[in-house]
Amino acid sequence: MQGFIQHLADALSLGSLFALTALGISLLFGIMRLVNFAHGDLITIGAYALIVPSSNPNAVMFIGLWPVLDTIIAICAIVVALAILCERLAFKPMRGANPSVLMIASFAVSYFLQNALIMIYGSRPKGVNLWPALAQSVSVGGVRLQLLQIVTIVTTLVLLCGLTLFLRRSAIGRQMRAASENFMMARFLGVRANLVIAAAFAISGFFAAVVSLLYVVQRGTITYDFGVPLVMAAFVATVIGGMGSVLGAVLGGFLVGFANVFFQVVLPMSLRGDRDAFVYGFVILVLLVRPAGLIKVKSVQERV
Amino acid sequence: MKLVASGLLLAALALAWTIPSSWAADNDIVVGFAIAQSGWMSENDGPPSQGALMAIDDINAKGGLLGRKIRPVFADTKSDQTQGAEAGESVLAQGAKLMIVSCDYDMGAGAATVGNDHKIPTFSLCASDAKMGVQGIGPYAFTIANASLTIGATLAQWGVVKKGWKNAYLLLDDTIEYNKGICSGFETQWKRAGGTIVGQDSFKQDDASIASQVTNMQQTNANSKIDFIMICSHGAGDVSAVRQIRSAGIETPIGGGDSMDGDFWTKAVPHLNDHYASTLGSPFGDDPRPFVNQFMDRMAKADGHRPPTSLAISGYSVVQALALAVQRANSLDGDAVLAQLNKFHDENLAIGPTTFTPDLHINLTRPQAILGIRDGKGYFVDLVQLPAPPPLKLIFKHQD
Repeated sequence: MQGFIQHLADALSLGSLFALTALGISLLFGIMRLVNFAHGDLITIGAYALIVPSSNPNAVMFIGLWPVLDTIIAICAIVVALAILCERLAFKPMRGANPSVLMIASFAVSYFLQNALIMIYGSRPKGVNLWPALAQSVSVGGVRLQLLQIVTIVTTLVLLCGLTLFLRRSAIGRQMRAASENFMMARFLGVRANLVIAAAFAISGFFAAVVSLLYVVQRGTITYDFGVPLVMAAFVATVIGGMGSVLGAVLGGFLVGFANVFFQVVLPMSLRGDRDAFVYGFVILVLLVRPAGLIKVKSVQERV
Repeated sequence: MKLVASGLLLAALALAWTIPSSWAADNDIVVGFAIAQSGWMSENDGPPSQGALMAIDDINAKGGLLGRKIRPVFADTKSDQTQGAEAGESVLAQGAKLMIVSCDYDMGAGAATVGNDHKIPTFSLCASDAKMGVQGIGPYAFTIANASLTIGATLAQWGVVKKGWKNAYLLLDDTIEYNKGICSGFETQWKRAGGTIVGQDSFKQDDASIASQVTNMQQTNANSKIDFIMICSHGAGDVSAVRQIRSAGIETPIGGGDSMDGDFWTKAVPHLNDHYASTLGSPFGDDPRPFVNQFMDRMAKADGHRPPTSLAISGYSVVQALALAVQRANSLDGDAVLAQLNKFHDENLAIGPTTFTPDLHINLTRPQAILGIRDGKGYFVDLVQLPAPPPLKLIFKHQD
């Protein structure tokens, strides 16, 4: 039983990270039909912003040394500003372009950001010990819980509720929902495209910043492609959750997290190296049963 | 018009002709570096190629090789496997008679194949895969490094024989061959020396979390106490695994390969103790071999800070090996130099005694330095030599 609860906690915290990342991706897809692969690089930059820019392999903390609240605000501000900058410089000129073209553009932004990071910081992994107290474990009834796991799960729940409230209650939130239903119609009815899209990028950037802080504490080391694996998993999560659905992204994130931990635990050693084949085989099964994902979003469906 | 065009063509041809002939008149011995000077791989190729340039300076200061000056030329692979062959061709076009390629089989294979095809003796700066040799690239390709099997095996030998540990746990990051080589060398030697592998698990370099692996490890530890955890990984994945294991309160000694050389990475794991890496030497100035310490001091002087790892010494040794073979062959002819390299027997290079045979262009039993970490600071622990090489069937498992 203890073992089961332990694995459950592991799966919940991994799923939370995927869910938070998936939220950032899903929001942009809902409004712009943009599959933003550069989202992972926003996560990476949030982590690099903690240290002094230098190619010296010995990383020196900078923003990471500030009081906790200041660090959180500064990293969120930097990543949100960068997300809006990406929108203005790369995606705004392409507004209205085919989604596949937008996706290619996001790859270009991603490669640009990664190579800029290599130029400034070098490609050697950097050790970053942010908030070491969070990395410690506490034992609750024989179950080892890392404080970080608890913080990650709680943060995810709080942010999910916050986002839902924002989308339902605030004026911009309602405009965003309208734009995601039918962008053209929303514009005819007075929804300001620039504002809605900038807000979507800002929120997406905010989620990237939160993920980068949690993920830095988890891994303790950063590289130029730090956020990329999270985005790959989160992208799969948004697809099985239902492209464009906020709740779907979260469900998808948890499902991928659970599948990862489940196969890591139950597969025999000889097959464990092929864990991802099983995880993604499972994803394909889910999609065969529900091709539009767990939560169907009407506006994304093809009208036949 | 036609006349002008053919005149231009002739002029261009004449120009093209004069450039190589002016190089040919040059008496220098040209060594071509087809390595990553930009992109992610440049961090790995940088220090060893700096070591190689230092060796070239040393030889030139003593009057050169065969009475001629050695001149390095460069081509950038841009950390792109598909650019490797082009970089190889580029250094050949610049007159290279000896070639040096990237510190990794996959990244260096393109350029090394070009060198091999032109019968140019070619060394990888530090690939630890036997494929960087006769069986993979061809007879003219070498690597100066020990095999990844040896890296893992020496740590096992030291753990069982010197530390008296019995029970080991393997944690394999199965994303690249280097990691698998380390684990398979470790496992073989640990059992040969009388130890037991009480459990194993795998993860991936990019795994967001290894929490479930840590849980599995704790369950194994509850049944039979683990004395040593061997992590076969590299770079950020390895560091992150160490952090997550220590965060879970597991204080068991942990081992790693030469990508865990140095202590620049320990900032990721506060107050880390009991981590041991198998590598070339100590970058901390406490190596029992005076040459290694002098070398690290010189690197520190040149860079303004101590080298983060000891890996630069492999590049120095590559140039030593090539120069020794050229001197003995008294020629730059590829076949003559190759014949001398194939006769290498315990040659005293900076990296340690080095042996090659016509069939094996990688070293299997050269001593490895074990580096430890105490409260986040690195120190030299021991110099360990394997009593016997790892089994050949492991080295060439892909040719079975």
